[in-house]
Amino acid sequence: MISVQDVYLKYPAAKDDTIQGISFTVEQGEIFGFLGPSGAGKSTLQKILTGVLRQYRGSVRVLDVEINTRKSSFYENIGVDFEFPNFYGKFTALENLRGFASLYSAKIADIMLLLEKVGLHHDADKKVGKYSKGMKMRLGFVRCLMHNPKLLFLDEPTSGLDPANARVLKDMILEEKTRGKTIILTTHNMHDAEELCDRVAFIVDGKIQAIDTPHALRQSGDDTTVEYSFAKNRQESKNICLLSELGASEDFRTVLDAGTLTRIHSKEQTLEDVFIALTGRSLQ
Amino acid sequence: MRFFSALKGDIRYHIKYGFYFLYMFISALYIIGLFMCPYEYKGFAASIIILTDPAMLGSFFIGGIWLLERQEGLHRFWGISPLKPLEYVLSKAVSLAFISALSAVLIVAIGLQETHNYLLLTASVFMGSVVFNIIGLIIASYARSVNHYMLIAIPPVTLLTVPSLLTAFGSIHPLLEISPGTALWRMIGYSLGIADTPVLWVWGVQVLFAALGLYYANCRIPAAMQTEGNQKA
Ligand SMILES: Nc1ncnc2c1ncn2[C@@H]1O[C@H](COP(=O)(O)OP(=O)(O)O)[C@@H](O)[C@H]1O
Ligand SMILES: [Mg+2]
Repeated sequence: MISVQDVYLKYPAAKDDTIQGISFTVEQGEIFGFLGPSGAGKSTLQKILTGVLRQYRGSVRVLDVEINTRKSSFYENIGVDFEFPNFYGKFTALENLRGFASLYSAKIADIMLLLEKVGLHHDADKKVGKYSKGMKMRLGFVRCLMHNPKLLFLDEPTSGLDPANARVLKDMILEEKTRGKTIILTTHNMHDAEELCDRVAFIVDGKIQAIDTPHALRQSGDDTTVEYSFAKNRQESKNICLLSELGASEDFRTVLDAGTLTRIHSKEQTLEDVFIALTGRSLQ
Repeated sequence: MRFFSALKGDIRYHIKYGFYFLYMFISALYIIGLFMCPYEYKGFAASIIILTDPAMLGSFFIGGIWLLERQEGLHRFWGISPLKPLEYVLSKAVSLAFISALSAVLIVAIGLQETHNYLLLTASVFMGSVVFNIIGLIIASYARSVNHYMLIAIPPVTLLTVPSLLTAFGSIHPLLEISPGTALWRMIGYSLGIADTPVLWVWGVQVLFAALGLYYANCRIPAAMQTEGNQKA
């Protein structure tokens, strides 16, 4: 689906390369995420992949074409959800969507149904200029789906959404995956990355520091620890040991047999813990 | 098909954003002006009005539309849509040329109230307007702001209008004939019965400028959209 080899990109206005030697591949049907703090280069990379920034060095193949030679028809198969919304403010949501939809040759999905899914059906005839940022974000998401593209690029799709709307959007993203879509997603939210992505690339300063499944990433590095509390001398005491050594732990056996165990929980690393361990940066 | 969809979208845009209203308002003012104009000057006055307003106004508005679309971030969408740059440019130029032709016909039909060659008038204003609109769009693509656009538009607009006005007021020089403005005035003048039959050359100039403009815009417009595409909101 996508094959990126050793790509560099320098903005004309910038001193140094913003993208510094990135390589990865994405398979059909995969949700592939870029997780990184603001300014890492996620949107820049997204713009390279969608053929907007074409002065890169290296090779970027998307749907079997080198992206800097793509034709306009290439975009029939691509849906892009922008980081910042862009619509005609004086047109209603429906007028905007119908207008954009008319440029695609594919059969257009039921627009009202999509609007209903993201909770905008009551505002379909409202001018987009009167929409809030979150409503525009949801409208942008609908626009990138309506021509039923094979490949979706979502740039921080849940940013600025309240938890309920973010939930709806994430469910719709997962639904697209079940329909065989390939999805590229950028985010600085570890929960989104973990929940949605089959594989995640950690990106910092225009470089990929790690690529793996969220599960494998969380297993890497420090082992999971277990923290347990027990009653001792009418007070609560705490102990910590590795999950792998819990069974062999004398201390644990003792409190377990004595029936003084009050609490127990495992402390797994979050994706952000791993991110910090691997990149030395936090996601915020 | 896609071109006609884009065209429909642009026309709807003009209606919604008040361009039709504006043109009709301006046309009404000119019609009133023509009513007050002495009979012997009416035809000439109408030809100048149509040349400088309906026909050339579009080249100014198209810049405004470009800058407005840019401000709304829409160029980022055009950059990833199946609409070809050439379709985009033609749709913008042709949709505004419709209003120009419509307004020219209204000015003549109501303001002059004589039978004229409406077919030629419509065709001339339409063609001339397409040429001016493409040029206007190219200029706008270099503008940083509305004020900057007004500033950088001065030299090309002068270069387009002065030769045609000189010709209208009777100057004759081969260099004047290279200007699409002159060609347009000759066509308008003839359709109003105040100028000689235009030679084929006049159409040639219009077609040549349209072709050159389209060729240039086809490279320039996507490049301009791309540089905006990497700017933050
Ligand atoms: N048009 C531009 N010209 C120069 N530098 C830019 C431009 N756009 C973005 N940058 C810089 O490139 C870096 C990556 O930006 P971006 O890709 O937007 O990051 P992210 O999406 O991960 O937050 C940032 O340092 C940003 O300031
Ligand atoms: Mg970004």
